[in-house]
Amino acid sequence: MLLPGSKILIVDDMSTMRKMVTKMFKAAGFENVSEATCGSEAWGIINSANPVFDLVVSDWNMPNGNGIDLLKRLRADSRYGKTPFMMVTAEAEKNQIAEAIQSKVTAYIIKPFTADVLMEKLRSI
Amino acid sequence: MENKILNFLLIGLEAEAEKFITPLIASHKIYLITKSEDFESMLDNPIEPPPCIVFVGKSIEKPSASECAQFLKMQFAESALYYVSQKLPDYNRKELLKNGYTDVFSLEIDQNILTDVIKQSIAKQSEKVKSYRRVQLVDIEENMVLDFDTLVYLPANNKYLSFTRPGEPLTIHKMSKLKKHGYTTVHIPHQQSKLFYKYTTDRLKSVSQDKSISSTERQERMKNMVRGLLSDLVAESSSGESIATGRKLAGECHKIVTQYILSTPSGGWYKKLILASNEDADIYSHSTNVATYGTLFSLATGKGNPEYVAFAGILHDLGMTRIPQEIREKDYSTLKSKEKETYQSHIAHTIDLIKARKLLLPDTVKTAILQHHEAFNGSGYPKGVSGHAISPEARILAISDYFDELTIIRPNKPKKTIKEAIDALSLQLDLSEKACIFDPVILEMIVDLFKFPEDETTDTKKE
Repeated sequence: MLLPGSKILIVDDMSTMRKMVTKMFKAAGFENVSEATCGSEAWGIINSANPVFDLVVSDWNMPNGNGIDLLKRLRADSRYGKTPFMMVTAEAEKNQIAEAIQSKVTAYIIKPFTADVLMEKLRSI
Repeated sequence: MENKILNFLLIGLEAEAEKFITPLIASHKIYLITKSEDFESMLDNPIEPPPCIVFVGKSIEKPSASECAQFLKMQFAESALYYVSQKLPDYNRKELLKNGYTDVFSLEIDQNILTDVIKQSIAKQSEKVKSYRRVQLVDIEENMVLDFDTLVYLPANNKYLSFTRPGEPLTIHKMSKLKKHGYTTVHIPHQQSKLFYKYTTDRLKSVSQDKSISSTERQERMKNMVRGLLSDLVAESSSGESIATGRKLAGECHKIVTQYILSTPSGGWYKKLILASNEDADIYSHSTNVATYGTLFSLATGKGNPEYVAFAGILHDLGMTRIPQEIREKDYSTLKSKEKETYQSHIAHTIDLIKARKLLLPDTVKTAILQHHEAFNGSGYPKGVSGHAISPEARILAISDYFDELTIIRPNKPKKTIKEAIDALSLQLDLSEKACIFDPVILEMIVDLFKFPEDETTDTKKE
């Protein structure tokens, strides 16, 4: 269950998408939202964060450090072993989903999605 | 009718495409985006009201066509989204549709249809303020509180009169008043369509579980509800012949079926299946259509288990991905015997893939998938079984599969209207039992579902 004060990180290389997802979270009452443009930047932010993030929402395909590598890095870190991680992607290929599930993704969302779908997924976390 | 000014958004169109489209929408407000930076600023200055149509071309470097679609679908959920290119074929149609485009056009071959689609969108949008959908009275429960408005149409002065407000029921008294005046339908504002879908889903669910009525009565009510849904599908498809409206309605039926299945005990399973088969990215695809029609047919005829039909429908052609494209795209009847064998092996591949993916399915579902190409007269494959040796789910699936094959839009293939498709199905009914490839009893019930009372403007009287 995510509380309104939860610390959230949005990772996407497309700035419009980042802004839009941030907007959706803010509209739902989550104010503490940060953004990163790629996996490596995200890891830098996550690694130095104190307190730790409560949720990471990441795109799959990004030029500089993709979503699945970010997920694997997170899961290998004791502070983030159980942190909810939501993968956002357009390529809902079965093998990708399988890989993400194996790497312990918490939720999976397929672009394009609406704020309602996002909130429904959040409730299931 | 006064002309309403609509908004149109053109993103990175090639010069020729822009030149072609602009005159068609000249009396409306046109927003142009030609640079990536402008695209980004769209979030800060949203277009209000949302554009009627968004056109996207390849003359914009970033974001890519797919990224564009993903963003636009989220920003303008209701707007039609068309990818337009000058030349053919410099795009991957399937990929674009999957990413959210409503349709893809190439000026080289699609000029006429593009013109048509634009004109229709404008006409539809201009009327939207006073646009209503027709709902059969049998589809509305007496005395049940409704979340939406209902209106009655007065043909004499072409007006809609408010009949009940949201939060009010159509009481027995009101119902009988309508019937006394010869009304068989009421109208619901188009903006409230979603509320009506929810209502229909709830009703489907409650009727299917209602133990207080006899099974015959229950079946009759289910049949009428499904008929109500399908009547919309047929009416829209035959009047406009617009690809977009046809697809939209198929999508709406799909939503109702999905909601219905999700409300059953197997709901969680269905969600996973849709995810696994990548179907929610492209709700107009063949598998979802077959699942949707199959479920509706099963609900309406009482044959087979509707949930299992839905599962089998989603999965039935999974193995097609392993069949070479050139064989898949050919007309089955023109295939050589070796090619036919390859084509037919998609069933074995499907079963294989289900095993490989460790999908634990009820045997009924597996049987339905295995038998969906079996024919009632025994001329099908892979086993050549006949009659009631084929499971009821498979018999339903075979009809919905064929029905969708006739009506779906594919490149290089003429599409039949729903009426034509039903006529084609009815032809099977005239055949002797030995020649009929579908279960004639089920087929007759399904064909019967598509027979509707004539348009109400002819059967209403003046209030």
